[in-house]
Amino acid sequence: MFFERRDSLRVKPSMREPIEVQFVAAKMLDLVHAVDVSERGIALRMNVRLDAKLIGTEVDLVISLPGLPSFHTRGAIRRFSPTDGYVVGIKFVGLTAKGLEAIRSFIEHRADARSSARIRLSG
Amino acid sequence: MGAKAFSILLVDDDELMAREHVKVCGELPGVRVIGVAKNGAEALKLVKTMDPDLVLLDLVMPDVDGFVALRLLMRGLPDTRIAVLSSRAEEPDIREHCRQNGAVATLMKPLSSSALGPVVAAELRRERPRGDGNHVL
Repeated sequence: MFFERRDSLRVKPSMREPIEVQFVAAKMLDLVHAVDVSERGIALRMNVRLDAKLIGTEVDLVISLPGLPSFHTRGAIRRFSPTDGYVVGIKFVGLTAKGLEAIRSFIEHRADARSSARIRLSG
Repeated sequence: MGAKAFSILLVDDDELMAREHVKVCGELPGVRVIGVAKNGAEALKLVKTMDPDLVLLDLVMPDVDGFVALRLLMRGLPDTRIAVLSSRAEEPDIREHCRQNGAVATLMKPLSSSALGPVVAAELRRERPRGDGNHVL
């Protein structure tokens, strides 16, 4: 039996309810959208292709999960998508309890929405 | 060519206070409030899209507060001019914190036109690094 670690479970937002993220780095403030989120990090689709030299750089993020209060966290750029240079993977650094709680609520909300959809399809 | 109004973005979660502050700004000729944000997250979005001449930023707000918003704005958009509004504006540690983080002024809340006037005048005297800066009071 396969058990996925709870903190590594990555959840995608729905098309109707995107996750808005303000990405802040030196002389850069951009409103972007998340591709997926977990308790450990977030993948963002950027508006511009970032330089690969930025791997390891710490950035500030203000994350607005649908229906939940916005929160600020820092993150470190970990990787760029090899197939799409516009998607970056960021690991949270010093995520607050408030931020973690918001992410957990969002993950539960998405899991509930998906199981309801499955029940509707099979019912 | 007509003179452009001096644009202000207000950031305050207290709707009544924000309304009062819009009135105070309106007492200064040539000054216009172009938007009101209710928290730091909204402030980042509106500063980026509206590019105001001055941001009046409350410190105590839910979610993303003014301390965080000030730091993030100065990191991401360092040309932004921010005056902090606080009922604790006279406390030296608050003033020093705001100054070190890039605020151009720290003003007592509730705001008065006599306190805001000199800040606007000082902003108009300085050369703006972006836009055409064609302002009159």
